[in-house]
Amino acid sequence: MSVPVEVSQQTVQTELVAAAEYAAAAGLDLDTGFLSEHSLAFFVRFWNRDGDQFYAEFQCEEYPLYPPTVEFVNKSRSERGTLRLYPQGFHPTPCICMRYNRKAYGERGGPHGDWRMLDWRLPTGNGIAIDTLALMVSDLHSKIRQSSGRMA
Amino acid sequence: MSSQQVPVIYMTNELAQKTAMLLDSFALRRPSEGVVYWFGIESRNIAVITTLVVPDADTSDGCVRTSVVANAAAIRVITGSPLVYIGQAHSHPGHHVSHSPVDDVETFARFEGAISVVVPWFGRYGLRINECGVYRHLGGRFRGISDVDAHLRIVPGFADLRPAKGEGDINAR
Repeated sequence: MSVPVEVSQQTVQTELVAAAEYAAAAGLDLDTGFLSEHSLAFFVRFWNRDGDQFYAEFQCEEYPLYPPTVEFVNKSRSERGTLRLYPQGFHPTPCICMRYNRKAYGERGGPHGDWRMLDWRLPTGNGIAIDTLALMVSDLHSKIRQSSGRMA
Repeated sequence: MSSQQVPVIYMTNELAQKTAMLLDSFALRRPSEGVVYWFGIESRNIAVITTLVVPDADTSDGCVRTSVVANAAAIRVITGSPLVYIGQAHSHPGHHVSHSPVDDVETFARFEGAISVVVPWFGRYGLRINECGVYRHLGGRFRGISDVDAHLRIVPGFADLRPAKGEGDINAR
């Protein structure tokens, strides 16, 4: 099963309206300049409590059937997924261990063999479901801004 | 229902932002709604929020519920003081700030004039009243308020008008 790129692109663009509202209000940088039918990726710059910057990439192929792949990258986006790009407090693999991250699933090499990707909209543990791009940005913001330092 | 029958509620910006911080504190470890009760002093025409109380709410599923015991404990805080319950603020996960049917029937407390404010994004970036849902219990039920200024006004609680001084200027005044 796959999702036509036009569907994913339209869904992402629709949901990014609320994500942009949140980012503007929260003082985050949302970069959608690379979003096209050839690249369903957008980027968000976060700050931790020490003022360190972190860049997260949201790769949204086959969204919303499957969650995006959320990964920390460097500023130039030439490096991704290394420990030094991660804020403290995330899974040491490293991984953003939430159902909204495709990388967290065992079938994608992640730590959670007990989750099914089709169920990605379910809550992770206790809490409400995080089932839109705006809520993902909001949740990541919450986790990063209270952390201090990098994983390496 | 005319808003003339219920007092205009005032609160300082400091308490408004503290409310948002407290709501956000429910969602630090996991995405969860939160609730803060507002108490204050009320007269015929105005009410002033002076006191924030965070009830021991059940947020085990990410939604907020308060038991009779939790609400009683919150009320106990103001017992013996001139303070009364003015209303409450609770948070929603996203930008939607409409009262849910559950909010309509379970919000503590429901009486004529009680105010209920829904703060978006878990209160994560503050309380901006124009982005909140504002409801008031009028005529037996919570009603969405469009003329917010006639019901709730945020006023300054602090001002420091001294010229800004650089670090190291502590002896300059």
